[in-house]
Amino acid sequence: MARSPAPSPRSRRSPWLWPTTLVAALAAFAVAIVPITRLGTGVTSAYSVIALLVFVCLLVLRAQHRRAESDVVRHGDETREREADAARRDTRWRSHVQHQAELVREEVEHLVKERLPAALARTEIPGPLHSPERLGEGVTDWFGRLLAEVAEAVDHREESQRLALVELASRVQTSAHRIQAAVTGLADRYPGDADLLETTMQVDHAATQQARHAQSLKVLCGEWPGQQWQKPLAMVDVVRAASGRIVAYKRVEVTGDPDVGVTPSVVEPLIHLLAELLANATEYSPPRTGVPVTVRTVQRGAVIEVDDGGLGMDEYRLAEAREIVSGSRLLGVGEVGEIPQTGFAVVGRFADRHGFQIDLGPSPYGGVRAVVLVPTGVLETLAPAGTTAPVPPVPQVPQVPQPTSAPDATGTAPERTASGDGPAADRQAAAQQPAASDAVSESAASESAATEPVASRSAAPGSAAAPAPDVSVPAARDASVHDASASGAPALPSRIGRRLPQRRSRRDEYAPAVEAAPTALTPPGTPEQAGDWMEQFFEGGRVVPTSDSVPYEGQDGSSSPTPDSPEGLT
Amino acid sequence: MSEPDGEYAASALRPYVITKGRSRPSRNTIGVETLLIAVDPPRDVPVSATREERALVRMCERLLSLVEAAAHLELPVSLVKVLASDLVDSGHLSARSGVPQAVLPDSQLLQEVLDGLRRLR
Repeated sequence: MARSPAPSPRSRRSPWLWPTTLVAALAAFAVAIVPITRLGTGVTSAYSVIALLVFVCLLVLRAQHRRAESDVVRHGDETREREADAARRDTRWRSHVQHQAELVREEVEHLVKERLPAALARTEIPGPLHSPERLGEGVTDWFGRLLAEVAEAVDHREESQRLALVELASRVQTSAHRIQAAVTGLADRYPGDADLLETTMQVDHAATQQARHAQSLKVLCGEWPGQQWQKPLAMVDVVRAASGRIVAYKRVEVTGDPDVGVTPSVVEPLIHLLAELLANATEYSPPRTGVPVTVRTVQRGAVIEVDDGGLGMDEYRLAEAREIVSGSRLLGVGEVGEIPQTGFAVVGRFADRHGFQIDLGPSPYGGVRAVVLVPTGVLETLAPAGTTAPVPPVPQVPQVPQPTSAPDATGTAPERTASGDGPAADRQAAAQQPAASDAVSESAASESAATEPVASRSAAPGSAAAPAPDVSVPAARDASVHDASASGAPALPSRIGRRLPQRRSRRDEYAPAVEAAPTALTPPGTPEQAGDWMEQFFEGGRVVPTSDSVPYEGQDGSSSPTPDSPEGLT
Repeated sequence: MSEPDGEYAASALRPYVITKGRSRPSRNTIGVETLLIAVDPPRDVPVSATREERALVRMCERLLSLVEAAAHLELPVSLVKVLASDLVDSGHLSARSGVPQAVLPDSQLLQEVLDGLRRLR
């Protein structure tokens, strides 16, 4: 379009027009001069002047025309130059825009393929592909804002989901624990009923598994078990406790040193972790085979090995499982797919938190062997089984007075268990004098009867025999027992635990016991009552003749004479 | 054992684990009043014996009634019955039931003691 009008001035130029005009004018002048000369010299000279003027004018006109023409040509050139320039700029702009579009397209692709998934997975978001200078500030900013908002939304939703899951899992776990507590109490209340015991065991087993699954869910949500055990537990018992949380607990066969224990803080994590490993092992072993578990001490701690007799795992799956189990890759609740991975993910989380080294490998049994290394720092050597019980001779050192060691829930324990330097000592002194004994015994009887009817009766004969040589252990035991009863523990262990030391003491110091026994009893009023009482005393601890309603008591009473009779034997 | 979110308080070792699911003792002659004593000379417990079994055998080195053993073990009596009867079966414990009548004091003697006590008052 720029070039099309350019040739027109040239084409319109007629190069022959000006010479023709001049030649024609000269010819006309020459032709006209002949007749004019005849008219006279004046006219001729006038004509000559005019003709000359015309000629000059023509020449001037021609010169002006040529100038105008050259102007036109120059302007045309300029125009063309400008047009070419504009075209160049246009081309450049187009390529720039295309380049920008390409950059943005690449950036968007990068955003969709790399950055957005990273934002959704809450991993580290990779940087933009192109710098803001190349891409333009606005674009980069908008992409950044988009990602930030996506990440925030994901975070928010995940957190609320996590909280909801944790809350629900906690409720399930709490209800499972309530079931366990209820059935435990039930079995304690009817000790003679084997059918009931069996049923409570089944219910307890189911509830224990329920609690484990709920706790797994909590762990996968990043929450840790709230449950803490107070005492160290032997490793073999940790394995047994873990086996109690799986379906096929009877198939677990544990061997190992029974006196290696773990500190209370890792008891629950270790139990749960092993329960998950045992669950996998029993699931993948043939159904009627045992699952051998070995506990052994090594230089760096203690090792628990769990073997299964399954088919094992292929290399790829084993490598993946090892990564998960060792805690080097932590899986969240949304990332565990299949059943085995749930267990492995839980195991890995515990390993990561508590520093257990866990590895998987092929087992000589054909399946998978899981090896848990428990570091030395959390190991404890336990007293051999049975030595903590107050059977062997115990030093005579009186224990710290009871009330300081444990808050007394029932109000009766201090008198019963404290050694000779407490109220019991006074009681003991008072018991020697019949006059004083009445009041004391009545208060003791009413006190204990008010709190624990069964315990009071069985404990009564011993209560006065408190200054026994082996009081220290019962006192310690009572402390734990009170903790338990304060937190709603079943009363049976505390009952018996409190009663026991007294009988033992009576065996060792028989004479004071005989004198002191009446303090906790209703003193004989009539000779007949006295006779009854005496008879019962020798028969055993059946102190209140009218209350045989509790079967326990009667049986217990018949066992009580044992210290008398076997005195010679032991 | 305290548990923050519930009244669940028990041992980590559940009863059914301790008895491997059995609720009935292998012999029905063992009751709460049964006296247990380790055989003399003592027999070594097998390596597979649990801590409860070891403890039971050990504490029965001196005569102990089942109910007391249960208290020391801090286990329900019915569980200890199962454990004890296993150990009796395996020959580690022997059980004695009841108290022989002959050992009980003569009622004549009792009467005399009672009379004596009354005179003291």
